[in-house]
Amino acid sequence: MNEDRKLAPEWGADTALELWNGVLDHFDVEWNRARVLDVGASWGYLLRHLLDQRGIASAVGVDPRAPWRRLGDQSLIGDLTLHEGEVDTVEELQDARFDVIVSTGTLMLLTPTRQLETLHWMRDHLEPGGHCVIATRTYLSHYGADQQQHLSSPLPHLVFGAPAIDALLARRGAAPLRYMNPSCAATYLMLFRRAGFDIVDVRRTSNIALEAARERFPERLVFFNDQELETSELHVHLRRPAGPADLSGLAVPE
Amino acid sequence: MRRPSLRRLHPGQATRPPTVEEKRQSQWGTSQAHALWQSLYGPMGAVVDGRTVLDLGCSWGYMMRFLAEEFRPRKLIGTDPGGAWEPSDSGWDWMAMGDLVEFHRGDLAEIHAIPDGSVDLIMCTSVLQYMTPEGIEANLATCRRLLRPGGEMILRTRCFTSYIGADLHRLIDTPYVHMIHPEDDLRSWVAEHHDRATPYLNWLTATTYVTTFVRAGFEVVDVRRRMNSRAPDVRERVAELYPWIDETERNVAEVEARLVRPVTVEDLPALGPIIGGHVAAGPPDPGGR
Repeated sequence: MNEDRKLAPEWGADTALELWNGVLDHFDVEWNRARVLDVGASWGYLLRHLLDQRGIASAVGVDPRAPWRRLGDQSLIGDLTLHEGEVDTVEELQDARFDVIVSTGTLMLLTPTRQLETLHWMRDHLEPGGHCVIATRTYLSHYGADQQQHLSSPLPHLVFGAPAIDALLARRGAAPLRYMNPSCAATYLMLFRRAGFDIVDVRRTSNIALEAARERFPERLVFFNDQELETSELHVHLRRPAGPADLSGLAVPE
Repeated sequence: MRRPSLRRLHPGQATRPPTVEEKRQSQWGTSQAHALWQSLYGPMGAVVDGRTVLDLGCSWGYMMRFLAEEFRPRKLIGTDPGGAWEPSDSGWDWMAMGDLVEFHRGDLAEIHAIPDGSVDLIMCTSVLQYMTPEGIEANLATCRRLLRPGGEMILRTRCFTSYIGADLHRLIDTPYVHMIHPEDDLRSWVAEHHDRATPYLNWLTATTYVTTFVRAGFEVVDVRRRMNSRAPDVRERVAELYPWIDETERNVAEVEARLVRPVTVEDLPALGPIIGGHVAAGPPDPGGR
């Protein structure tokens, strides 16, 4: 999609509503009067929706690309607080605390270690008992390597490696595929727990290209776990534990 | 309701893992190499005779010693950040073998002394789990570059879902503890009870290892999953914590894989022209015939 189209107010409003209906509204989160942070906020369209329609108390967003600077109508920002950068490098955020942190379509763009660092930061900046809602693509998604604008084959990134695909794109005069984290859904869930979250609820969305891929490349997909192969996106409700962990059952080996 | 005790990691000496010191012993190396050949490299069809073989994470070289004694390799290369391969450490006089054996200390991704396309087979056992995911990608990219077209990599790696997936079994007497408690909590507990840091192991599950192999540009020929069998009662608790993950992914202890560095169109120029029925060395005449 043309990046400028994503700056249109109508696109933002429609996308925010889709995110509400398709992700956020499925989880038991108390939005009313919540202080909300959006990690990877783009120009703030989801925050705009939450502020205008879901009764949140305050809306803070962070994005390294700062697309709001290119908005035709700066009044859309209004009472949103938007920061350019990464969560752990923006000075104004380091002493902040939130009731809810959301992140949609962002985690998969981070390298694994940056994911872990970012998730640790998110957990530490939630109030105890605070909520975190994440929607992320998995690498096994039908859009897993963002290849759909150049390649029409189903799941080519699970059959051919990056060197082969990038060589093909180069021959066509196209840029290499952008970075996508190689994690499957199960790895993401391990990551969330490792970072200190309680996992409250999980939803997986279907891989719409899987049937066609299995028909065309049956022998190449057999090594992936079926459930992971069938998962295109992961929607997760996490919470920062309300109190200290109970480690009383642990002991030193005899 | 009181949670049942989770202390059941080491029911007797027979299952005690070897210490670091024991792993330096020649006898341990001999039995370990034999076991690895029988359980992994042999069944995966490793070919060693006449080949250049690289052992990624070779420790003191016990697998290389086994290959030198049992086969006729052209060359054996070992790489390891630790570098404890002095003959006085291991008792193996590899220097007497001259050019057959060479060692390189460091991270393979940062070693530049091995020519591209010069390796026929890469072996790697119980190493990847200690790398960051980014380190794995860098090492796999290097492996692909070092392998000749058609060369193979055979590996076994522990997954985070292993009952010892965070290497805490010598510090905490609870299997799967890293899947139950977050890393910060475990780090604090270990610091309090052992006055030391927790080891680093990555959090990759089996399927993410497979995506990483494919993404690195390998053709995946075979993958085998070795499942956990320890502590079924604790496994049950893990299952309750992760009901959204199928047992076939959640309960994988280790992944074994046989990978091939594919032959590509880009490899053709290196083959050279065919003259008199033989392939000549070097690039083809740009003017053509």
